[in-house]
Amino acid sequence: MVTDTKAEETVDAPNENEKKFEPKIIGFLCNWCSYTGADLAGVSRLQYPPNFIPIRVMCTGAVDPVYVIKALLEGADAVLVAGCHPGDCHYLSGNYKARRRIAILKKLLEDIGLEEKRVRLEWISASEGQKFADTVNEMMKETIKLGPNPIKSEWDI
Amino acid sequence: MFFCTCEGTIGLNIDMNELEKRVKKRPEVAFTVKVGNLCKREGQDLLKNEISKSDADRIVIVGCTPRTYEEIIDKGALEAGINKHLLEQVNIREHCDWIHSDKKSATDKAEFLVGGGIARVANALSIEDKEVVLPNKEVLIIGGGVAGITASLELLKRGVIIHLVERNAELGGRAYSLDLERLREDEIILPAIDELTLNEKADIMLNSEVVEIQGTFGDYKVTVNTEDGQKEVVVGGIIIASGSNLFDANRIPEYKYDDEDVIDFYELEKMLVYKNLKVPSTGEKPKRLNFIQCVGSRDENKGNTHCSLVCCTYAIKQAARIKTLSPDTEVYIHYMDLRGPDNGFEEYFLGAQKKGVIFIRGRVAEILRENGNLRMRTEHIELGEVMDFPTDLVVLSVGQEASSGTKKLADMVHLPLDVDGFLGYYNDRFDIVDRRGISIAGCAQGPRGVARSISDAKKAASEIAGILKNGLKAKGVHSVIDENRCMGCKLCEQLCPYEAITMITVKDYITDEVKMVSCVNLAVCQGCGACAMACPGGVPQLIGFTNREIMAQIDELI
Repeated sequence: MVTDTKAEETVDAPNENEKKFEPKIIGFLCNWCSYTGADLAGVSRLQYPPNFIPIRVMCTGAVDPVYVIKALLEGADAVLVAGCHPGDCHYLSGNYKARRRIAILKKLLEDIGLEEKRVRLEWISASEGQKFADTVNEMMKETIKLGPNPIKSEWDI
Repeated sequence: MFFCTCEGTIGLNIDMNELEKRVKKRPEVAFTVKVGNLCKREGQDLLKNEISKSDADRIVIVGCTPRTYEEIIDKGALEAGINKHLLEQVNIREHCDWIHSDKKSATDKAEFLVGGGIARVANALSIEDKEVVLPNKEVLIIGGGVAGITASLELLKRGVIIHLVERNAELGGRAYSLDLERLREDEIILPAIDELTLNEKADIMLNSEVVEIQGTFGDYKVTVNTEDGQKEVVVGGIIIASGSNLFDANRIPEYKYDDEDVIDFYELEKMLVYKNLKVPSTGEKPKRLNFIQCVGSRDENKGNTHCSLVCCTYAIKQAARIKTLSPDTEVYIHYMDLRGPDNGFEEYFLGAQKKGVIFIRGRVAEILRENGNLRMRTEHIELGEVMDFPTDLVVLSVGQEASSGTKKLADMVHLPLDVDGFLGYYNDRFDIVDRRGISIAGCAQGPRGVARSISDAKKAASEIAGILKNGLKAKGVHSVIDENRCMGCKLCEQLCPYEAITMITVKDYITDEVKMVSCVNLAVCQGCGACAMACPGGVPQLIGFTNREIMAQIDELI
């Protein structure tokens, strides 16, 4: 359960049943923008639920859709891929590659019966600590609405 | 494994003792140590000591974000004999301790994060840091203005052979005709041009233009259209000193630049250099002369949004000069704000005021020619009035804007342009030679004066000469391609945003067949991972971020 007091304010689950569900979110954060943005959120002491777990990657363009699928198969309830704003990519065009890949991946997820909302692509720059915290809080809320990731229970992985 | 408490700032919400106890149970962990400050000297000494005592071959550092002290900690580890690729920093400060106030869940999350770090480092590839030697040591300089000339001379001094491409028929650019900033043409520009043209190691191509640039750092093939037809030069690095253009005042029709008594500062400069100040229509000395500042600068509607930085200094200097040459001439400067970024500006300004130059704050609305007389309508902000000003001669202080070839050049070398259309890619506090051996000097990266162009050029030249001479280290994170497994599909070659991948032919290690495989140019590779992602066989691997590492981390985290 999200015991974090401030997080509880932001994550207001509608009923008792859902309140017990504690979603796990994996975030692939690009080293240059979003990871630094998350650092800024930390430095600014912006609270978000502790069941968000970051993984540092060099660029969103280096996030293999396989990573996302792996995370979902392993039981993550949602996956965030966050990188530099369009035009700001440290590696010139990595975020555009990510955008295309995630768009296709979302289609595939729908085909296998997963809500496309479980994967989210966000542009969070190094100066947007607040946006980072907001994004995580919002994702938590949405994921609670979606409920637990069905793949793990259905396929018994 | 080291737990760094950041001098007590970590551990307010995480139970560090509990975390250490839980982590110690894992079979991978040889020892755990708590320290206060790994980023300081004492911490580094402790790190070295502890590692030399044990047989650990990989390190996990639990503490702050790797974005802050990664380099220092990597260096410490290297001195302790552990390569930075076998070191993982787990960020429990910004990503856990500082943002979660519940002790239990924060400690749980920290344990997860540490577990992920352990899994990642356990699967890390150990790769030696590589030195890259660049095959070609010559340098191409695009633009023969003051920046291009200075860069050329600086490189020649260091024994580097240069190729200089200039679009015009003569060297010197705009600075050739300027008598500003205490740099007289006969003192600075002319001797430099002479020195350059007489140097036999300098290959100077006048009336020429670069049409194509191919290749990567250390091996650029550049096609140049010269007077004697097309020519190809092979160079190791490129300095772009293509300069800027002056704003064309005809774009602001109210200022009547087509009138012969309305001139720009550059034309006035030529008059002053030859001590031939006169009103073009009458041939007499001007009685009233008005400068209009910010023509085409800081003007969103008809010009450019940027400030051209040097025009205020130039106008004040010219005004003072006019007062010296012809004390009877009334000189007015109409300005929005006076901006002088360089030393001595305030002294120029005060000196000009003492000489009788009058400064009027306000935008000039229009210039009119009525009954043969020139008049201007302007606001006077201090008086709060609109004034009607008779005048003989108007000088427009036109700003600088990106030169016409900048866009084409930027496309050729794949550099982005800034909002003003300049090649403003680099923060000049940092390295100005990027990983592709391309450096920018002078006005090509934004408006600036002669002095700053010269210092830019010297910096660019010395940096590029140093790299070409000594070679350079591969980036900490870079891609490696196993040529035995590569099938040569060229997908990564097309996707690499830096053109760091080239195709080479090798012999297959089993069949001895000759085949094409991808090869990473480590001088150029920036470590974005586009190749690793694209490869259908997973052959290219991003050191420190390999699929194995990330998969293991995901496994551990969920």
